[in-house]
Amino acid sequence: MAKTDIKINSTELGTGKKITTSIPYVNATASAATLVQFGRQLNALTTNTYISTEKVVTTRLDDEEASNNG
Amino acid sequence: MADILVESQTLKIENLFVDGDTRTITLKNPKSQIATQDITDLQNFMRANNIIIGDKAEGTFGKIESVKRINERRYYLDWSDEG
Repeated sequence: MAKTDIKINSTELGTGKKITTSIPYVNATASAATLVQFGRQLNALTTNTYISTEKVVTTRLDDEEASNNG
Repeated sequence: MADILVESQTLKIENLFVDGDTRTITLKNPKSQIATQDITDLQNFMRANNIIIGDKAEGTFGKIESVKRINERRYYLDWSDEG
């Protein structure tokens, strides 16, 4: 079974240091536009400069192997 | 050489689900002024779009329970003169 996380990428004001905020188990059926808006809305509560929102889908390989073996 | 003090702030948004569980979103460098309306808008967005945090089922998000600003001070000890 796959799980979906999102990562919000931004840079820190003043230092330019890259910051990644991880939100685990976000709604997997949400559209890209919705997830981007969610990422932007969360980042708007900070002083960080928004760069992008990534969707990360993780599939456990043991589950894949089990389904392939029938 | 003096010890180094590093100060930082994080925002912890605690989300309550209908089964009574909570899941927390942590953000670094929160703004010094965050309006109540910003949190209300975020909550409404999460409900309207079935945003779930953690291992919860779709449609079970209840509300944002609390929002906390955490101030942290870390002192990095300078022991470079020690033998």
